[in-house]
Amino acid sequence: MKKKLVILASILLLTFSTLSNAITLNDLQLLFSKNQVIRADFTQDRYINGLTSPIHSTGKMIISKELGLWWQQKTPFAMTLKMNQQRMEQRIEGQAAEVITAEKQPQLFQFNHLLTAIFTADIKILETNFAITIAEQNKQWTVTLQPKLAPLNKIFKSIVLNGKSYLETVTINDMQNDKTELTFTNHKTAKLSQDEQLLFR
Amino acid sequence: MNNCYSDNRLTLRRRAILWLIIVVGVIFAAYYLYINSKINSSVLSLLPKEQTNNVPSELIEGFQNRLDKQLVWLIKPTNDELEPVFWWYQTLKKQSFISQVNGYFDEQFQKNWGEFAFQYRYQLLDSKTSERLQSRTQLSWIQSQLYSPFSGISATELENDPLLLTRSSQLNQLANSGGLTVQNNWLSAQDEQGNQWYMIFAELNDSSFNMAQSHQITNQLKEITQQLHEKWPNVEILKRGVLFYSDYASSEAKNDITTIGCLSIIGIVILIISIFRSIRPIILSLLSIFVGIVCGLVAVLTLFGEIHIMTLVMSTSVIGITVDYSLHYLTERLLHGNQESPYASLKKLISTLTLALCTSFIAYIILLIAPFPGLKQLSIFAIFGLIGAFLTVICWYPLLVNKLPVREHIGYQLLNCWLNFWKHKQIQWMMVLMATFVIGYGLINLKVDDDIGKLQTLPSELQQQEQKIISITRQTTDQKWFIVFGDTAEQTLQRLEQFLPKLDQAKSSGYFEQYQSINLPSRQKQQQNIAIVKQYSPEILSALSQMGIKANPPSFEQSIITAQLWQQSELSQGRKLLWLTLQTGQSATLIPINGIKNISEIKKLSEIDQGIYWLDRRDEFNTMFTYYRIHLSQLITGAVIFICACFIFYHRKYGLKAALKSTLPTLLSIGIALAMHGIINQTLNLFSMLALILVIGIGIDYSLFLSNNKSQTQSALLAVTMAALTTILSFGLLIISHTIAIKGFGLVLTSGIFTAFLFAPLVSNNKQK
Repeated sequence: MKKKLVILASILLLTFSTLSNAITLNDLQLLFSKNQVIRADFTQDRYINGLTSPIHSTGKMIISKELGLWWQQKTPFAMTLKMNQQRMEQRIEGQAAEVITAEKQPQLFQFNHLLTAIFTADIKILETNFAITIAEQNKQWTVTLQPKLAPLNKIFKSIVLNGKSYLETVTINDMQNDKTELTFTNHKTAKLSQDEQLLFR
Repeated sequence: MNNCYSDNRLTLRRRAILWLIIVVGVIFAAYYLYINSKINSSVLSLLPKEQTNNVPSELIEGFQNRLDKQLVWLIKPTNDELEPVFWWYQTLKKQSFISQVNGYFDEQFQKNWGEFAFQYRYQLLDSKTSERLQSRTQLSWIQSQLYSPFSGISATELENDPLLLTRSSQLNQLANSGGLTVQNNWLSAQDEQGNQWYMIFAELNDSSFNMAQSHQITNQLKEITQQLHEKWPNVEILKRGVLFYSDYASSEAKNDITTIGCLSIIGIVILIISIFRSIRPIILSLLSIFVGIVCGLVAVLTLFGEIHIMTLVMSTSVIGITVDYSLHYLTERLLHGNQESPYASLKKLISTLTLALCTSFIAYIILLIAPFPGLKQLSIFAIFGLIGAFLTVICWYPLLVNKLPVREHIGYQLLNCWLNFWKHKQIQWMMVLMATFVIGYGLINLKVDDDIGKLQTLPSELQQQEQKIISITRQTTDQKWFIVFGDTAEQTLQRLEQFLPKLDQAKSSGYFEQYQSINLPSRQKQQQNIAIVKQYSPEILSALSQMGIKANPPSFEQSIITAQLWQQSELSQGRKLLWLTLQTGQSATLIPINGIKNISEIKKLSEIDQGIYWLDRRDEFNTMFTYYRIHLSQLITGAVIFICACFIFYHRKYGLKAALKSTLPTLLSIGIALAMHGIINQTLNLFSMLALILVIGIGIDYSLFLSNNKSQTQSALLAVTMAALTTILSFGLLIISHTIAIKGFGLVLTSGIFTAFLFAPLVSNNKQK
């Protein structure tokens, strides 16, 4: 389910400036809402059992609190994903876009809605869906989300977020012992330029 | 006199015994039929069976029966606790009257579903995936899944289904799921406030419950709802189902029958006691009413096998007419019991009685013209009821009226007064003018409306719940859909496949928002799907192996999913109701259409020759109502012209003016009956027309009796007064019914008949000139 990409985007908002020893969910929520815009480059490696080499891809992404998520994979092929509260659009280069809206495809969209709960650190929804553990070592923090309910718990064992002043890595452990590692670099928080705003259209 | 009496005693007795035997037989038949028949209470079944389309009626009835059996509940637990939902599900399962309960999809179900979808992934290839394969874009879609960190693709999945066909069609299906989702293994939907509601739906064992049974079921369901609220006080529950409506309708009708029946009998009893000063006439009248009702009931149950609730309610009004025959005879005895034998009285009256029977008879027979089962039942009930009462009067009364007190001058003063009152020219003019004024006022405000939905008052509480369910699930209960049918399942499915692209086009043109269709491809389509996969899979597989993905080459087992297999499988869950196969092999599927924006464009998609038809029963019925309303109004106009011509011809010897005057009671009664609609803001519909027919049929009696040269005006007037009073008593009481249609019917009849009675002396004046 490619739409779950949003989770990444959301997590990127975890930009902790100062860290205490006991971070609570309330702290998280506060910290989540700090930056209006975040950009970053990403590299992704998927380790699937039985495959000789990991599946490697790179690209960049923008999260705007106002406009939603824009995620673009550049290599090995171009794929763009746009997402906000009402609609989601995915386009593979050279093909028509696939659009999913909250109104017409609630079952598919609902999942994404759940993930946007992470985006806003909606404590109620997060606690309903995940068991959350938070740890800190040498100013490097780790948040582990373990899904509690179907269908999330059928797909993911755990989602581990790691970072310092920004979110740096995300590790997704699938139920089949496959693993995906995402690394974010080159974070920027400047306001959206006009060109960038157009990307969300 | 005594001689005359004894001469005929033997004949009378023989006749009476014969009738007694018949009546006893009929009573037994009534008992037997009554316990074995069902009471129908759906408004739709009151409507014509006659089809305006060529869709096989067994198919439509099949779907209708099935829909009648469905019950739906939405439950909103507090804090998303599933315990009450599960309790409700389990409790329903224990009920003997419920055949299956749905809404819970456990692990086993999901596993079976997945296995079935995997096993038949080539056959079940959805149109979107098929397009991707043929446009050679499936590979890049597979890649997008591979590269998506959250797709959860495993090596096992890649190995067994390298083309990701199962995944692809499942995702595409989810995209078309409408307002409902599966949440925590339960079917659920969210309302506007974001509350989660869980849906549980069940099917009754049988749709043909009789009144007592369905009442019992509703009560049982009420009780377990009560239990639910006791266990979890804050849990909300909504319900929907034909059962609830029909139970409401039956209990309302039951109340109506009891109230109207009792009141009209009480009224008649009081009337008879005050005129006859004896118990005997009451017993006699009740006897003929009873025999009449039993005869009517037996006739309806024999001919139709069931009785409609509306028939029962309207039939109470027949009491007023059946009692007329008793009254005519008893009045004759009351006034002339000392001068003539019971047999002589009968002989004197028999022709008048027969005439009265005939006019009512004809009016009811005209009702048979309209193809409405409910009205046919009413007509049959009335015709046989009247015959039963009539025969009771002529066979039994002469033997039973001994010792009836005689009051020769009863009401003489009053009746004379009334007759004298009408002798004044000015008064005649004034009354007619007043009536004309009322008619004019009423006709100005007259509105026509053929919408059948307005004929039934639905309980507001049930309707609110239904509205809420619609807004949460976004599934309307309009019963507006396309039906696709064919001689075989395969033909139906092929027709469906040819039709769906057109429907998709209409959808993208914005004519409607959503449609729902079954997920079973035709045999032909399944084979085509397999061929497509065969053709396009090699290049995808080689591309995948270049990426280092090793996959099992697909094996194409040729087994085909039949309609039967599909119905038994988990795959058909939630869509089974849309498919129907008859024993003959004839099959049909429904495509419910939601969010209609442009109905005329949608209608154009019907291709009856191709087995595709836009079914909108309510709309069809409205059209039919309009058609028959116009048809009947023409018939009535014709009848009125004919009747007036007869009156004019009959009274021609008294001069043109008097002849014209003789038509006034009939014309005024029709006019007032019509005007009454405008005055009380009731719309004119088919039922008003039917009431008009009875107004004419019954009202004319009064003019006929009063203008009859052979009988005394006073005694005729007394009998007519009694007859009119009893008729008004019974029809007038229909006004207190809870059903708008019946209320309107009663109102038109009462006002019309009252007018006919009021102006009847206009005709009698001719006679006395």
